[in-house]
Formats: sequence, C-alpha cells, structure tokens
Amino acid sequence: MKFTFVFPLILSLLVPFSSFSESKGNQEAGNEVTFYSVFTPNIEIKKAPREHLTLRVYNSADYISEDPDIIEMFEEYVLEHDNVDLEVIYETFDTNETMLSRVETGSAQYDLLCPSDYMIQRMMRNGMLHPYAFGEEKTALYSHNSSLEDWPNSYEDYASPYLDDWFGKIEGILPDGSSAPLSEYAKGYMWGTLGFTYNPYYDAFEERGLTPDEVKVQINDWNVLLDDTYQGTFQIKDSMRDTYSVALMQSYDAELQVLRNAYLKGEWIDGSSYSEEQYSADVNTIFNNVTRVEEFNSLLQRIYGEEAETETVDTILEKAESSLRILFDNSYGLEVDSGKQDITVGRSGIGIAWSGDAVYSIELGEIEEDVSLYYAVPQTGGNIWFDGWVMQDYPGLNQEYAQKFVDFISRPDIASLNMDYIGYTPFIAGEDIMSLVRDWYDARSYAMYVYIDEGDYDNGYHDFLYDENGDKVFQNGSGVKEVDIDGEIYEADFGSIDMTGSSLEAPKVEGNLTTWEAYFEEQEWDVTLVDLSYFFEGTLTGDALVYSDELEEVTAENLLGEMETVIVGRGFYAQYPLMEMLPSLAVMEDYGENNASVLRIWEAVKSDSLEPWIIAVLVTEIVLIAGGVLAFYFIKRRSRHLRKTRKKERESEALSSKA
Amino acid sequence: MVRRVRTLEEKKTLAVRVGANFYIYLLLFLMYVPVLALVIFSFTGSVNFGTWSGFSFELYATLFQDEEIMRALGNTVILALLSSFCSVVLGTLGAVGVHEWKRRSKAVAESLTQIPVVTPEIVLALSLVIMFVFLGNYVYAGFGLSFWTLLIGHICLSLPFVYLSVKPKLLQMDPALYEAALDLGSTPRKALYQVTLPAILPGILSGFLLALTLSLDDFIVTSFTRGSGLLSGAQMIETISTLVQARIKKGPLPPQMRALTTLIFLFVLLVVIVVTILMTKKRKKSHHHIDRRNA
Amino acid sequence: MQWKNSKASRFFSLKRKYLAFPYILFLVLFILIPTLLIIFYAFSDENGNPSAEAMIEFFSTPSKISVLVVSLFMGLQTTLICLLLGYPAAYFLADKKINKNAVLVVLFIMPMWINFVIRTGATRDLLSAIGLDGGTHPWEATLIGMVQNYLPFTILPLYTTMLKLDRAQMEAAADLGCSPFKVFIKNVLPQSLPGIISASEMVFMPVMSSYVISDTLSEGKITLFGNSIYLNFSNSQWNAGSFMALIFLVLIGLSMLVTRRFEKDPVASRGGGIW
Repeated sequence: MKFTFVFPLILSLLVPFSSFSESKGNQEAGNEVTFYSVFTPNIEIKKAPREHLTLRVYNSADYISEDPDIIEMFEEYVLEHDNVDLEVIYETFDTNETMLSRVETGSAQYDLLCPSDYMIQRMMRNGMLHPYAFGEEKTALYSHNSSLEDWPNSYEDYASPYLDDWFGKIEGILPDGSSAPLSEYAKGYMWGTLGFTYNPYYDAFEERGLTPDEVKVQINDWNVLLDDTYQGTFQIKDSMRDTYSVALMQSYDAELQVLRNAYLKGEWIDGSSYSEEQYSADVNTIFNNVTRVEEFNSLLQRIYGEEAETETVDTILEKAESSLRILFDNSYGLEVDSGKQDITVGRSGIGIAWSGDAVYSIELGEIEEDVSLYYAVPQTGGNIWFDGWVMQDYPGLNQEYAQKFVDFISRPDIASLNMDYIGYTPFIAGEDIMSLVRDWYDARSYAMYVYIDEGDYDNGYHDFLYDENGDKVFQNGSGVKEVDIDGEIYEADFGSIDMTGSSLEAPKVEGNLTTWEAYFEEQEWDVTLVDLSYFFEGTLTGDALVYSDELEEVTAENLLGEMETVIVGRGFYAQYPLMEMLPSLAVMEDYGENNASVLRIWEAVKSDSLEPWIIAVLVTEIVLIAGGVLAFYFIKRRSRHLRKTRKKERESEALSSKA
Repeated sequence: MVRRVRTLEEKKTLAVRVGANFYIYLLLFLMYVPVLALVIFSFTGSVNFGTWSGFSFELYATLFQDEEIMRALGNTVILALLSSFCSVVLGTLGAVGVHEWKRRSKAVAESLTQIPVVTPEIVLALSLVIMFVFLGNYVYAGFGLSFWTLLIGHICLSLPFVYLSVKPKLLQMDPALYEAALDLGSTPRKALYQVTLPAILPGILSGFLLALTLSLDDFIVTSFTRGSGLLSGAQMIETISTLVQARIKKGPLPPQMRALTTLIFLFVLLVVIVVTILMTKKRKKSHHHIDRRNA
Repeated sequence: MQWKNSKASRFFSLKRKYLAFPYILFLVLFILIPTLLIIFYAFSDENGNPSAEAMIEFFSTPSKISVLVVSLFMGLQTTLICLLLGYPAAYFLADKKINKNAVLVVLFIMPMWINFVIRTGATRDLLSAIGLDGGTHPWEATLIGMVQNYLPFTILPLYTTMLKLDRAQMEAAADLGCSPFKVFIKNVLPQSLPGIISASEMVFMPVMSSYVISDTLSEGKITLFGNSIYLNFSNSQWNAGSFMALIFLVLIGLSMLVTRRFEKDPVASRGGGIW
C-alpha cells in the first residue's frame, strides 16, 4: 500500500509563522510592527533616514529614572547632537548571578551592563569585559561626533574623588593572570552600604519589653540578630553574599571590636600608634579573609599574640556557617526584594537592606503607613558596595555609544534625576546633587522655603513651592494655606516667621540678618552639622555642609546590658554615611576559587529545614504504606491460591464423579 | 392516595447524596478561594490585595494600558498557540506513523515518548539549556537562546501529550476502514484525510487543548530557555508566568493581575459551560438514536 | 495519472509509517540527547573531563541529602493529602446516583487554566491575611499551596478509573452480606488501584521538583530538590546541578519499574479526555 506524502506541504503550513522570525541582535529590530502597536495606532512607525544603531543595556531592575525617562532623553540627545537614530534596548535583571548566567549561556550580548563590584571582578577574571578608552583614544572612538562640548568627560569631571579612589584601589585579575584596577573596566553608577532598616516602634519589640531607644542602641551591633529577644522579628536576604557578610561580621565581632577600640584610642594594644589607614586595611582583611587567609592570620597574631589559632578557609567558613544557621533559624524569613515593603507594613521589624532600599522604605513608611523607620550600619563596620557600568567584550560592541551613555548618565543633572527617582546614591558629586541633598535633608531649606505636602508617594513626597522664574518661594509667616498648582489644590506651609531674603549662608528673620546657629538655637531646633566634603570635594564652588535634623543621639542599654550612646539616623544617614564611619567600611571582593565553598555553606544552611519530626513522619508513613502494599499482596496471593485449590478440588470432584 | 413514606434505605441514600454533594462543593470552594478572592478584589482599585476601597473598574482600565502586561499576555498566547500547533502536527503524524510500526520499534518509540511525560519540568529545562549552550560552545558559536529555543522547550513539554491523546483514537479505529477506502479507489492521501483524520479528530482536539494548558501555565521551561524575540522585540521574552514571578518576588501580586485573572476565568468558564452543554446534547441525541433503533 | 508512476511519485509516496519520522527525530534531538548530556555533565568536571566529583560531593554533603529527604517528605505528604481529599470526591463524581452534573467535573480541572504563578501569589497573600504566612508557618503554607495546585491532577485519574468501576459487582458483594468497609477494601480499592498509582505519579515527582510554590509560600525557608537545582544552575554550578537532575531521573526510573504493571494514562490526569 502506497501513500503519497508531500513533505513540502507540511513546510508550507509552517511558513506563515516564520514571520515571527528572531530579531535577536538584529539591527532593524526597531521597525517591527508589534502586537501592541496594532492596538495603539498612535505609536508611529518611524522611517529611518539616519543611521540606525542599537545599544543594548542590561541593568538591575528599578535602577534608572523612568519619569523623566533617562533612556528616552539619551536617545533624543543622540538624535539631536549626533544625528544618529539610536535605539537603546534596555533590559533588567534581578540579581548579579542571574545576569552572569544569562550572559554566560549566551542568550544575549550587551554593550553595557551594571554589575556590582565583586561581579565586575569575576567578569574580568572570565575575560568577559572590554576596557574603557580614555583621553585621545576615546575621542578617536567617537566617529559620529567627537565634540567635547556635546560629549564632555562628565564621569571624570564629576565622579566623587572619594569613590574614584576606591575604584582605583580594587584590583581585578585578568584571564592572563595580570591584574588591573577596576577603574579601567568599570565606571561607577551607584554606591552604598549594607545595614539594617528597622522600626524601633515595632509592636513585637514593645511586647518583649524593649524601648525604642534600646532598639536604636542595640541595632548598632551585628549580633543583635543572634539575640533571642529579636527572634522572628527580622528578615534576611535570600542572597548569598549579603547574608554571608552579616554572618562574617558576627563571627569576628570580637576582633573587629579590638580594631575599633584601637582606632578610637589611636593606639594599638601594645601602645604603638594606630592610624586610620591601618584600621581601614585591617577591617578589609577581616572582611575578605576567605581570599586573604595569610594576611588574616598575621592580623590574628597581632591581636592575640603567638597563641592565636591559625585559621584556614575551612575554619572561617565553619564559623560563618554556624552564625548563618542561627540567623536563618532566628529570622522571620528570607526575601529577595520584598523586604523593603514588608517592613513598612509591619511584617518585620528589622531588615537587612542596601542603603538605597532603606531610603525607599523610610519614605514609603513615612507617607503610606505612618511609621518611622531608621537605618543603621553597626559600629564594627560593614560592607560598602559599588555598582558600575561595564562593557561586554564581544565583536559587535558599540563602544562609542556605550561610553557616551556612561558620560551622559554621569552628568550631575541626570544623576540627580536618577537619585530623586530611585533613592540610591549616585557615584556623581556636583552642585545638582548637593542641591538635591539640601532639598531633602537640610533643615535650612525647611526653615526658609514654602513646602507643599503632596502626601502621595507616587508624585514625590514633598516639594517646594516655586514661582514663575523657577525659584523657591520664601516663607512669609502666613501659616498653612491652600495653593493652586495647575488646577490642583495643595496645602502649602508658609511658616510662622517671615524668612524672605534668607540664604544658605545666613537667615533673614523678619528682615534681620542673623546666623543659622543662632536661628536654630532660638527655634529649639535640634540640628547637627554634617560635613560631606569627603564626597563632594572638588566638585562644588561652596562648602559641603548640611544641617541635618534627623540625626539623634540616643543613650540606652546595649546588648551587653551597659549604657551606651550612639548616633542614629534615617534616610540621610543611609545615603551619605558620616565621615567617622568611613574607615570601618570595606568592599567584599569576589571569593574567586572559594566561591563554590561559600555557595556550599549557603546551600547547606538554606537546605537545613530537615527536622527530626519530618524523618519520624516520613518513616512511619513509608512503613505503613509498605505494610499496606504487602498485606494487599498477600491477601491477593492467598485468594488466588484458594481459588486454585478450589478449582482443583472441583476438577477432581468432577473426575471422581465421572469415574 | 397513599402518602409515600420514605423507607430507611431511601433516607440513607438521600443522606449520602446530600453529604457527598456537600463534600464536593466544599472541596471546590476551597480550591477556588484564591481565584474567587482575585475575582472579587478585581472590582476595587486598591493596590493591596484584601483591602476594599470601593467598587471600581479601575484595574480593568489600567490592565489594558499596562504595556508590559499586554506584551507578556501577547507573548504567552502566541507562544501557546504556536507551540500547540507544532505539537499537534508533529504528534499526530507521530501517532499515525508509529501506529503502523512493528512491536519492538513501537515499544522504543513509546518509551521515548514517556521520557518528557515523567521527567520533571526542571530537569527537562536544565537538559535543554545544557544542550543549547553545548551547541553554542562547541558546534556553532552564534547559537544562543532565542525565541526558537523557547518554542522548542514548549513543544517538548506538550508533544507527548498530543501523541498520547491521538493514540487511543487510532486503537479504537477499525483498521479495515482505511483499507476499504483504498480498495474503493481512494488515494492514500484522500483516505488519510477522509477516513483516518475524522476518526482521530477528537483526540487531536483534546491534545491541542492539553498542549495549550501546558504551555500557558509553564514557568520553569520558559524561564530557562527564553531568549529575545516575539513581542518583546530585542528584549528577553516575558510571559505572564515570568512577569508575575518577577513581581511577586518583590511584593504582593500586581493589582492588574486580578483583573486579568477574572477575565481569563470568565472566558474559560464560558467555554467550559458551552462545550459541556453541547457535548451533553450530542450524547443525548446519540443515545436517543440508539434507543429508537433498538426499539 | 501519468505522474503517479514517475520516479518522483515513488519518492514521495511513502508509507504511513514514515510519517512518524519528524516526531521521532524531534524526540531524539531535544529529549534523548539532552538527557544523555545531563548524564555526561553529571560525571564530568568544569572542563569537561570525566570526574566523579559531583557524585562524591552530593553523597558526602549532608545538606543535599537533607534536601532530598525534605523533598520526599513534601512529595509524600502532598500525595497522601491529595489522595485522601480527592478519592472520595472522584468516587462521588463518578457515581451517577450522586452526581449527574457534567460541568462539576470540568470545574475541578478549570484552575489549571488559570496561571499557577498568579494563583500561588494570591494564595500567599490570602494565607498571610489569615495569619498562616510562610515566615511563621512555612510547612503549613507550602503544603496548602501544593495540595491546592495538585488536587486536580489527583482527582482526574481517579475519576476516570472510578467511571470504569463495576458497580454491579459492588452491589452483589453488599447483597451477599459484605459490610461497606469490606466492600471498599476487597472491591473498590483493588479496582481503583491503577487510578491511585497514576494520581500519585502525577503529584509526587512534580512536587519534589517544584520551584515556584515552595519558594513563594515558604518565604524561601523550605528548599526542595527543584529549588536546589535552580540555585546550583544560577550560580554556574552546572555539574552539581546536573548530578541532582540525574538523581531525579534515577528516581523516576525506579518508580516506573515498580508501577509498570499498571496501565497509566497521563493524558487523563491532565484533563485531556474530559471533552
């Protein structure tokens, strides 16, 4: 039997569907008619008279301003100045690890990626990155428009010198074994610390007899999470490195205390002098002890003398693991990104948080839930981290626009838009950033200008009232009044004193010039003068002083039951750590070869949900099931046996009856 | 007229009936609690699931304006239809072909079919990615994850189910029918279209529906094998599953999803009711025929 | 008709059995070869050299064994609860005296049409609203979510076997004086055994390998085998991940060996034969 079968028939069936052809890495991707545009005819399909280029950007989720849309602004800027129709393909990832595995599996290649410090090191080691071009090399790269006026070196000009210094100090190892500073392969984007967001007024704390002040003091110790009183009140991060760094700080708390005391006294245990640089280096050694075991051992010998125990990677990890286990058992749960909201709605009282998320939580809590959240980096020190732009080394790399994008986003005005939108602190210093900081945190701004309470988080929390020229309106002492802005009515606070004519330098109270110190004293306004020159050095014309009214000095019992005084802070403190804290911060570098070992303990802790009752239940059930199956089997066999014997009996009966 | 008194036996059966129905509806209710809650709270504008802030259709309005969700929805639907179509074509041909195979080679084909059925999704996904990366590393350097790898992943997921839905229909079919058609002068192709195809059509349809459900619901295979393409253009393909998973990692379910779920729920409910009514009618009709013939 | 005898026609006029070639080719390319690659990766190191490192590591790491045990536990609990809840439901549904409504059966599979990630998200929000949140009750929350998701997969295969139950035999047994319990043990249970086996298979392995449900509902506190594979994979530990996948394949092979005497219908378990 023959049957005619035409293969092409099947193929032709498939043809109509091939119009969904892949557009991966495709330069014409922009002109595709998409499902969406079919439904929204107002999206015009651009004809491209100009050169069409693409730039693929891979960034953390929620890590760039969408209102105004920075990506769009950049595309328009390029169109205007370079006459290039640049399409930015912007994608986001949730963790550095996802990003790496995406890039490793080759699902896509990117011109710009924004990983964290350690991931930059790892990518350098894997030979995945392309170095930045500087100076003339960079100008040569700019084939479409190399005018310095249109494309100034914003990053070089405005990146905070303090952070730039950090970036130059971190070394990455290249595939050939040589090393290069991170600054050759990466340009900083955002930075911050890892600490605790906490709610000192959390119900569970009160139930357990903790006063808000006690919480504020005790939170300054990493061991707070190991303490029984705090059990079940905090969330930890479902992210290996962050939680590991907390465990590390806990395991070596005693050593870190020794270092801190020596630093505060200015002298080492043996009486020799102890500098800030030395302190910083020692903290760094403890932080990175998995990769620097030798240095770590010599530090231990300096602390404990000859009888110091020699540590190995295994002993370090063992200690961290036991700390992690307690953390895990004590915690309410793990979270990846939900913690920043959970704490505002009272799901937890403490969360391990990156500083930018802390700013988000603090604001969200203030506006939506009416809770006052705080941020703390414990005194023994903590993790300082940087996220930076890197370029992937691949044949189609669009280096020109990758670098142009970095310079664009490093313009202080753009950086301040980003900071305003996402709450993280940019790498960039400069006037624009300083004025945003003063708008947010400086008591002088709130003393002088009329501010409106929009009360809606989506539209920005508080803003000042501006006149037609775009200048802030001074308070005139007429109290709270309703104002009409673009047809919407807002409540604006015109204050109780006429401040017209005041400036950052000096206030003018009812027409009389005085000093800010005197003003705050008279008003009984508790402010602290904070100097941010470490960060803004060289990028401002004036000073970098901020009168902050959110820092509090609190005295209460600490975890050890002693009275202690600490300075606690909120959003400002999260965004710009106080100068005194800086030496105790360290970058946690890539674990290199030990990455698998750290992963193993992390996995072990995470997987350790096996409890005796589980085994008991499991074994009982298996025994019961097995018993049931066996019983069933035997019953069946017996009945079959019975049937057979009966059949035989019947047959023999029949035979005998026949006979 | 004597009032009919329920016997003890009847009372017992009635009690059983009421009890059993109560149990069934209770179980159904428990299963539907999350869905029902989604439906109810889709008619209020509040961001937080569980707080009622007045009746409104706000979520439905914002749902259709949310470009991201609409794109993901489009991707999900296109992917489901396309992969189900491919699975149906491949699987039906496979079933028709393998049906003619000899016993031993048939057994081999059947066990090959069983692999994706019993393998957990995560193993299936991992093995596919490993192969794609292997291809990219050692065979053809330009090979990476794309829409095509995603499509292959989804076909892998549903293909055996199409095969297994068609197979019993082939077994039920009278093999003599096909031969008879040929003997009566029909060409093999015509015989296939006019005899075999109608006989196995219910199986094909059921396979197609199954393939659709599997593809629409999938998360793991999608998140492993996806690359860029479809409506996401040069970006990573997002489906409803991957989009929602990414969002619920960060916080509560996006409010628009409540509206979307309600719409899907109503649509499916409608389809189910219509189909079931039609099927029951058809079944009754055919019963009727038989009854008449017997009489 | 000339055409019919040409060489081309002979080339194209293939037998029906050749129709299966694309199907088989697809399975070999995208199912068989990847599965073999898993085995290859499980027994090699990062550079592709043969090595038993992943195996040794797996069996010498208590935490990995504990994940396995916890997964087995979770799988077994879900299967048992699903069977306990689903068995009576399937029995009642299949009994014409109790249920005449065909829509009811379909209602049980309808949740399958609503995206399970959305359902899981809703369940999490609901559970935390009634105080059964994953942070404080990870086991309960996860179990509830699992049962909710897998109950349809248990009811369907049970339902299809129950439809085939020989009710006359049961009535005969009852008339001959068997107690309802004895009827159940000696008659109903053996008859519905294939359904039970099939339902268990539909639940047990998928629960062990599930990723989204346990991760979402236990707030990350319970790690199942699926999560573990995912974690290894996303941290570029491919060999370890592959070995764990291989463990799965072995478990599946074993379970198929045990249950191969029973005819199974995965299509019915997915709601395929309902219409």
